[in-house]
Amino acid sequence: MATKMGKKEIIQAVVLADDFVMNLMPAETIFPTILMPVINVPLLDYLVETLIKSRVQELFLYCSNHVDLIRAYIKQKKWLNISVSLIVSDACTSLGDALRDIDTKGSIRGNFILIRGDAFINANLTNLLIKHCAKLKEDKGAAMTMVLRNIGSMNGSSLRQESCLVVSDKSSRKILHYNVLRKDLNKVKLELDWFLNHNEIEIDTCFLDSHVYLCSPSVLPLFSDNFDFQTMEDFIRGVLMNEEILNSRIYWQQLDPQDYSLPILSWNAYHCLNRDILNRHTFPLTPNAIPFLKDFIYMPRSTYKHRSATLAKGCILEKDSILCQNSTLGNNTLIVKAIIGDHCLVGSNVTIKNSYIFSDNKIEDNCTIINSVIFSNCFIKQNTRIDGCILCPKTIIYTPMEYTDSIIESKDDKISTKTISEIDPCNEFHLFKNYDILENDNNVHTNTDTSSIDEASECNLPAADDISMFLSEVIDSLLRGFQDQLKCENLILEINSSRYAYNVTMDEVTYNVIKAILSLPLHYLSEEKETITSIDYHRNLKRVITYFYPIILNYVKTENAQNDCLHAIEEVASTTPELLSCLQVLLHMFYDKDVLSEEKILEWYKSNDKDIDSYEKNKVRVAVQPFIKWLEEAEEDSSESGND
Amino acid sequence: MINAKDNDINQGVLDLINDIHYGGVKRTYNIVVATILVLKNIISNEEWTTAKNLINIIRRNGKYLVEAIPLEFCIGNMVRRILQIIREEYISELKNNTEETDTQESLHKILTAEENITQQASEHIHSNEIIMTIGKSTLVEEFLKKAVATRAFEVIVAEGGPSLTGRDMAVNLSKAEIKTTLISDVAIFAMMSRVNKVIIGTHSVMANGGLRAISGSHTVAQAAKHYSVPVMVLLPLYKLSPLYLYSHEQDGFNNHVSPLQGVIDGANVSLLERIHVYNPIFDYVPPELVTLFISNTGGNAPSYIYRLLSELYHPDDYEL
Repeated sequence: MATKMGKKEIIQAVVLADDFVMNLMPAETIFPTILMPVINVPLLDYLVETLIKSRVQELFLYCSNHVDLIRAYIKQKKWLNISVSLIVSDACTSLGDALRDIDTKGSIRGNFILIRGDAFINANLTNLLIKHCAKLKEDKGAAMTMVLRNIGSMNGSSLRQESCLVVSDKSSRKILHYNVLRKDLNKVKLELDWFLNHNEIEIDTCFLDSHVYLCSPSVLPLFSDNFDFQTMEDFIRGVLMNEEILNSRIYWQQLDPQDYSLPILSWNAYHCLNRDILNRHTFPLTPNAIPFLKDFIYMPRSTYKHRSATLAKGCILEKDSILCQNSTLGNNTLIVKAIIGDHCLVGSNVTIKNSYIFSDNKIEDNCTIINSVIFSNCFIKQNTRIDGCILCPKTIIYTPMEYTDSIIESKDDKISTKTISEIDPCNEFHLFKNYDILENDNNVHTNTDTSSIDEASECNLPAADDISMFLSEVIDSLLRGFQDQLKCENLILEINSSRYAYNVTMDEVTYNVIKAILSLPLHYLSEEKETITSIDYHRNLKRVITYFYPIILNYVKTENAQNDCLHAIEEVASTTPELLSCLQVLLHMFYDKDVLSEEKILEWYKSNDKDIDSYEKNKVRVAVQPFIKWLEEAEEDSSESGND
Repeated sequence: MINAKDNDINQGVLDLINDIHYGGVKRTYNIVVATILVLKNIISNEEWTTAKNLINIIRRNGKYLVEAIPLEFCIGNMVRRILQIIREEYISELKNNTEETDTQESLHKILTAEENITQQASEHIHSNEIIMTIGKSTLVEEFLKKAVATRAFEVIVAEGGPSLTGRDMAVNLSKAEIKTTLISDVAIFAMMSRVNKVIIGTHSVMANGGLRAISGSHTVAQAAKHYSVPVMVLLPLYKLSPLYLYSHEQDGFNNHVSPLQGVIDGANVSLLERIHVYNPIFDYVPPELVTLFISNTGGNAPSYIYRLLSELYHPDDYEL
C-alpha cells in the first residue's frame, strides 16, 4: 500500500459506507447508505467524483453491512485517477468502532478526510484540507476541522429539524459547543465560561454539518483511547469536555458560499437534495455535467428527460422532475416533483407527485402515487392509489386499493404492510408529513403568484399566541385596577399600550376587553379564595361592569364593535355556566346603558339562530330568549305608539 | 466511467476527456492544442493501411470525444478539420502530385490564429475611439494590448455578471496602460451612445454566423444595434462550427451552472425551496447583430461564414 508518487503527498480519504443510523427506514435494510440512489445514481458516484476533482488519490471505503453489494459495485466501476480499497468488517456497529478498526489497520498515514456515508458535497476537499493543515501548524492540538455550510435561517424550510447550535471563538474558529437542536428543546444553556475566557464568541444556528471532517492523525488514537466515543457527536462532546486532558481541539471551516453540501439526514433531506440537484444548485454534480448523468434534455422549470426516454401524447412533466434512461410514460400522465429511474414503464392517466420511482418499475394505467418512495422492480396494478408509502423492492400489488402511510413488502405473493407512524413514533420519519406542508405552501404560490399570502399564513401562528398573551395582560391590568380602584382612563392607556406591544387589531381589542371584563369576577373571586357561586358571580359582575363602564363605552362605540362585544359575551357565556344564568340581566344592563343597540342584539340573536348545530350556542340562545321576547315586545309597543 | 465499447478508443482520448472534465485543461485554445496533439498521436501510432481506414479511426475517436464533452464545439471542429486534411492529402496523392503539401502549415495556421488576429488590431481600432467589450476574453485582451502600442483609445468593460469576469479584464487592461472604465451590465445601454465600436470574443460561432458568447453579449449587441454601433467579433477559425442552434436542443447549446455562483445567496434555504433560479453561461447572438468577424484570414461578414466553412471542413464530416 505504500505507493509513492514523487514528492507530493498522497491525499487520503476515508468513506464510511454505512452511517450506522437508521435515518432512511427501510432503505438501510436494502443497501448501505452509500449506494442510496440519488437521481438514479448511487451516492458513492457523486462522492468519488468530488474526490477525483479534489485530486484525492486514495480512498478507503469502510463497509460492514451489505459488503457483497459494495464489492460488486466497486468491481463494476473502474475509476481512473483514484485507488479505491475496501476495508471490510462485520462486527462494526458504530462510527466509533469503524474508526478504531481503521486505526488498528494502520493504513492512514497523515491528515485525512473523513466522510460519512450520507454526505453529499461538491467543494474542493483538498483546499479544505490544506486550510486544516495550516491550522495544525498554528495549533498542534487541532484534532479535527468540521466543514459547515451556511444555509441561513432554517425556519420555514423543510430542513428545520436539522438545525444545530455552534458556539465558537470568533478569531480562531475553535468550537466551544456543538449540538443538534432538537424540536422539543426550548431553551439553550450558554456557559458563562465561554464569555469569560474569550474576547469574542460566535453563536450560530444557521450552519449545517456537511458530514465531512478534516482529521489530523491524532483523531484515530483518540477514538481508540476512548471506548465510549460511539458517534461523531460523542466524539465532539468528549473532546470539548476534556479539552485540557486530551490536548485536542476542534475547529470549523465554512464552505464557500457557492459550494453545496447536504448530508442525507432524513427522508426530508433526501428530498431536498434531489430537488437541489435538479435545480442545479449542486453544479457540477448535476445532470449533463457529470459522466454518469449525461444525455439529458434540459427543459424549463428544472425538468429533464433522457434522450432515450419516451413521452406519450399529453404527458406533462410539471416541475423538478427527471425521467431517466429508457423509461416510458403513457398518455396524459402527470409528473410533478418526481424522479423516475431507468427502464420504468408508466401507463396512461397516471399521476405521480412528490415521489421517487427507482429503476425497473412497472406502473399500470390510472394509478395515483403521491409522497411515496418505490424501490426497484415493483409492479403496481391499474387503479391503485398510493399515498405516503414506501414500497420495498420487488413488491407486487395486484389488488387495486388505496394504500396510505405504510411500508409495503411482498413475501411469497402476499403483501405485508406496516404503518409508518407506528414504526417510527418518535418521528424521524418526517418525509410525508412535511411534503404536505411544502405542497400546501406551493399551492398558495401557484394560485396567487405572490408571496404575501404565504407570509401571512406563516405569521398566523405567532399571532394567535400574541392574542392570548394580550388577553392575559388585559385581565391582569383590569384585576389590578379593580382591586386598587385605579382610574379607568389610566387602564385604557394601559390596555392600548399592550395592544401595540402585541400588535393586536382593534376588533380583537374590543373582543378581548369584553371577554376579560366578563371573566374578571371569576379571577377576582378565585383570588379572594371564595367558592364561586352564581350569586357571587352575579353580584361581582354587576360591580365590575359599573366600575368599568367608561372602559366598555370607550371600546364599544361602533356597530362593528357591538358585534365583537356580542361575540365575546357569547363566547364567555358558552364556557362559564355562572354567566349563563344572568346573561339576560347582563344584556338588559348593556341595553339600558346604551352599550348595545336593540337592532344589534336582535341581529345577533337571529344570526345565532341559524347555526343550531352547536349545542353550546343553542344554550346561549335559550338563556336570552326571555330578554329578546321583551325586547321585541318593547319594539312593537314603540312602533305602535309611533304609528299613533 | 468506462464502458465495454470504450475498448476501441485510444487511451489518449480517454485521458484527454478526463483532463478536460476534471479541469486539467482549460480555455478553448488549450483544448484545441490538446485535441490536435491526441489526434496526431492516433495517426502516427494506430495501425491503418488506407485513407478510409484512417478516417474511420479518427471519426470513431472524435465522435467519442465530442459526445463526452458536448459543450466544447472546438473539439468537433478540430476533428472535422483533420478529417478534411486527410481527404485533401489523399486526393493530391491520387493525382500523383509529388510536391509537398502543407499539412503542417495548415494545422499550424489554426494554432497561430490568435497571433494573426491580434496583428490586425491597428487596422480596426483608430485613435481616440471608445470601445466596449464584455466579460474577459484573452483574445480581446491581447487584441487591445496590441492596438495600444500604436494608438490611444479608451475601453469600457461591462462586468459580465454573474461571473463578473469583466473585472479581471479591466484590471489587466489598465495594467497595460489602456484607459479603462468598468461598468455594470445594467449600464450597457446607457453607455452605448458614446461608444464607437464593440469588440467581443466568443465561445464559438454557429454555421449561420450566430454567436455562442458569454451571457450579456446579446444585450451588448442589441444596444449596439440601437445606436448603430458596429459589433466586431474576434473569431479564431477553430471556433467556427458547422452546427446550427436548434430551439429544441437548447440544452446542448447552453451550460447551466449553479445559481449559487453569483445569482443568489445560498444562505437562504427557505427561499431557495420555493423558487427556481437559472444561471446559464451563454447567450445566443443572432448573426443580424454582428457586423464583422475578424478571423485569422481577415475580416468577414456573417453572410460569408458559409464560405469559410466549406473551405475548412468537408460536408460529409458535418455530422460526425
